[in-house]
Amino acid sequence: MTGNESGIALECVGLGKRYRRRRPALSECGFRLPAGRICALVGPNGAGKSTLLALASGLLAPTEGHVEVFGARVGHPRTARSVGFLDQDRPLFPHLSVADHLRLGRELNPRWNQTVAEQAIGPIPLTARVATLSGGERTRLALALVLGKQPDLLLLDEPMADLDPLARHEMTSVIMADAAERGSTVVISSHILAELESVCDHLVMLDSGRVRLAGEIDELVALHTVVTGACDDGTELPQELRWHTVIGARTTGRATTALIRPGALLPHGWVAATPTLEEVVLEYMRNPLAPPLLTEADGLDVRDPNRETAVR
Amino acid sequence: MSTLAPGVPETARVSGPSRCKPSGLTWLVWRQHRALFRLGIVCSLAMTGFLVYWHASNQATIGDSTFGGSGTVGLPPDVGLSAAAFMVWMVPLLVGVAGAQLFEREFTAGTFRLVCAQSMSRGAWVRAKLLVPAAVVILCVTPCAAALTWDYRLDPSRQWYSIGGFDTIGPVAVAFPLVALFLGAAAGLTWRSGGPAKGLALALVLAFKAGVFWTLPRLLPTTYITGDLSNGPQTPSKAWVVESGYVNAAGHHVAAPANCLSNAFPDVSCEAKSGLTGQYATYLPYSDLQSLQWIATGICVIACAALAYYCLRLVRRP
Repeated sequence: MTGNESGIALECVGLGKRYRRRRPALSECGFRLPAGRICALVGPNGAGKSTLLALASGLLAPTEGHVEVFGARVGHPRTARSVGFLDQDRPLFPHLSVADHLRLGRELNPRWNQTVAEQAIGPIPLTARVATLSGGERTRLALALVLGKQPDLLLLDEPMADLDPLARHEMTSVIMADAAERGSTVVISSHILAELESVCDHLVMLDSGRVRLAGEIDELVALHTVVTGACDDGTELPQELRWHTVIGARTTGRATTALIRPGALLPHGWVAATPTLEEVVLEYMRNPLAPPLLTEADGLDVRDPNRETAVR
Repeated sequence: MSTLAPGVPETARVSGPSRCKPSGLTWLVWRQHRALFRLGIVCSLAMTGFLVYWHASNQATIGDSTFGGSGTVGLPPDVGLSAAAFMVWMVPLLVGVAGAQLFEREFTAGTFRLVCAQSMSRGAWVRAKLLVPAAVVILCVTPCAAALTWDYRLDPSRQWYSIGGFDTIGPVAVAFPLVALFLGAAAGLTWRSGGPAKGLALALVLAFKAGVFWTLPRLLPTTYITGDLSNGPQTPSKAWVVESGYVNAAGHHVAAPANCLSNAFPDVSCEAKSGLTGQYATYLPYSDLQSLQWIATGICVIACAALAYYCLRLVRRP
């Protein structure tokens, strides 16, 4: 049993990682992911997604802060069994066969489930050498090793990147069925939000090594509003929006459309609408200076630096 | 949706392997390097077979003789035995290069990350990566070294203290390849790039061997003898002469004058004119062979332990 009383699967506290002589890949990264959630980890290229997953899996050591998995610091022997990590590069032994890799999983993982692994393998012949497999087949095999391990926390780095649409659908079904059956927590990184939106209930968005958004997807979306109103001067933000946290705004002709985090009553004459998740994420990506929004794991405590400043 | 981490699921467990077959990380390391291990075992069997055949055919010719005895029948140098000794001498170099690939390839191919993502600890992986090849090295080298030691007894002309002699017989012949394996592994972990790691491994193995040969005669008390200028000190047969030189009238050890050394033949009169009164030598007798063998083996075991610790430290740190 790897459970902890707080029900938190993954917690990052002040997490930072700096590679030699380069800008930090991650900096002051902090969020909590409740157990049993399907979390989308999104962000532009170079945002730090792969670094975050490697830190959470224990492959890398942080240069600041720490990561906890089910209440235990990463690196603790207990976490090795409870975390399954799909590497972005899909490292496999090229001269070994598919069957050899399945045996590797069986030999090195006490909770190995051959049935789930073979289900993920699909039509790939067991005798085929890894060197002869296509990119998609390698991904399936790497995913089979992760799923067969039966971890409580699955960290999947771009799991669908090499798969054709049919295989994507199939693998998503396998991952979700396994997660639903065992109540496991899944973190899926991707920069294609559309393929995650339908299956994920939690979101962590990284940009330039920092967490910009973290929380329940429904809650994050509900905290934002798209407003559209008349604009006299296209060069400046309308005065009516100054009591709100403006994430981004665009003016087309005499109309301004803005994504805001409402801080007061909406301005008179402006039309409000609920944004989609994609609109929210894209606006945060476009505006690096937009204040981050991190909702706590229990979904009650919302930290909004701008709002806190306004209250003071 | 559950907010607690799920417990250990009742998954379909595949029945474990039988006891006689390798399992876990032992299986993985064996499977990864199976071809190389098999090649080593075949070469070892072939060489041991040759050495046993050589021993049988030559023993029939000269009868039983004692290695190092003063009255034994001299056997003409045998090319086969020399070649076998050379190959055993080469084993540490080959094992060092193979040892460098042991970890280096895991890092360049990224398979280190695959293994670390399983339920085993990094320490267990390093232990398996070192101990399984070490067991294969012992398995392969021990019969060759034993056969070569056995064969050396037939050839009284061979010097036991030479490179290619001392390090190809007895426990040292097994201990040196083991150190070479660990040195190679440490080089591969330190310099995670194919060519440089192999070069570093070769340099380290040669340096280690030279260091041990330099250190060994200084670890046991030597016997000091003197002799006159014409005949020199009379050391026993098979003695390892550690140091030799000239003695002057004051009893001090001095080097031979350059003009005397330039002659093609020793010129006693030249040496006498230079104030030299005799020659001296310090040596280790043949009876010290066993002690030196075990001392060198002990040094190798300590080196292996230190190198294994170094490898563990490097890999445990993410």
